[in-house]
Amino acid sequence: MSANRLGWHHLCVEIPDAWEVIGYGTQPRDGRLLLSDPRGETLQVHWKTLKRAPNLRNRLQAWKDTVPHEGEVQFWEVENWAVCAVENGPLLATRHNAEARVLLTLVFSGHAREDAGDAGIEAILRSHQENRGERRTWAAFGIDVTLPGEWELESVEAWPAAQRLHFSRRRGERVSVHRYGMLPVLLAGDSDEAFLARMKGPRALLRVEGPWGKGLALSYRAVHGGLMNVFRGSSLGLAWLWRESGLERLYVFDQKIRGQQVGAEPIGEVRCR
Amino acid sequence: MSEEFDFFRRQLASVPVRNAAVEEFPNEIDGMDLNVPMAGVWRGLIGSVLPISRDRRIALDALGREVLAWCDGKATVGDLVERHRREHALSFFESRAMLLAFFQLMMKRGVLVMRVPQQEEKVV
Repeated sequence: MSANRLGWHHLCVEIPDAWEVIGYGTQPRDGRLLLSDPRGETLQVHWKTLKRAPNLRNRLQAWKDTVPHEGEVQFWEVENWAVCAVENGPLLATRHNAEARVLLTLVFSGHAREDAGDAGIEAILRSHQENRGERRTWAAFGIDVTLPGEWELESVEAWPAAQRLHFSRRRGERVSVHRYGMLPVLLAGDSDEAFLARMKGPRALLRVEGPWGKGLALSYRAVHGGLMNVFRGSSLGLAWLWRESGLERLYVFDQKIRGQQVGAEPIGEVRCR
Repeated sequence: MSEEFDFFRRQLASVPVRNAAVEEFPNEIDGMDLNVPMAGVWRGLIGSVLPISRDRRIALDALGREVLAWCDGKATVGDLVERHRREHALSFFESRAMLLAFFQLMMKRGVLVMRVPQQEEKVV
């Protein structure tokens, strides 16, 4: 079974290829992710900021009492994860990061356990890396990007054949990663850069700066109406677009950072998948 | 088996069936125009007095025409999702979301009906 990375607030694990995110929360304090494969729900990820360290064993007991079960219930530990599994049923793994004061809980469905086996689930738990610090990974919806830690997730647009993750650091500074599929239909005969111009709309003056890696480097300036040009100025944005051979996807990395100049490199790394 | 899981499988095992009364014509955007006859007592009564349309015209683009052509009354939603996923190099859930939205619209417009397997039918 090939693996994909799942990176979100506080979490970074390797999951099976067929598992996709179908529900998400964007707030760092608390929220959840819901994953599924073509057969049904596989994993729920919950995170919550707590004032005090919880008793993980009590939490597992409380969860066990809410799950209808007839067979045996097992408790064990996998590295820093406290695990509880119901025979022929779901499995819950939880851990608390005392430094970040975040409780992370993963609930694997019964059919995920059937498919991956408990050894496979333990491998998922062992692959976990704390997703905080200088570099953070955001990997979901087919996008996998590593950015400096101060960039926070602002919004998500997850559509069929078009996914965008937007990050911000402070007012006016934004990084967006886009991934597009169904290119013959989406581009409708346009070039990649013309498509990007179409996406950015008539208020962005786009300019091709030259080749970059497998694609193109571009710059753009926002055009405001009338006096707004004087008041708001027009800061420079940089974008890079490329296609990954064999994937039939178009990727765009778009960054708008104060003081950046043409020729700068993207601040994040994108893994294509 | 959980209800949610069962619903998921039944959804994929459903078969979209085209309305045989719908007329199809090629259009200039490489797609297809559909004429869906509209029935109803009020429409008949008002139509006998006023010149109102007795059918609804729907224009599909090339993608819509392609998917509608796949609906042969035998292929299940799961089969169509898999075919769409393969032909357009998308993920399972991308194709599923796209096709379910399309089927929902076509059902609302009277172009398709969905044959849902009964509880006792075997769902693979």
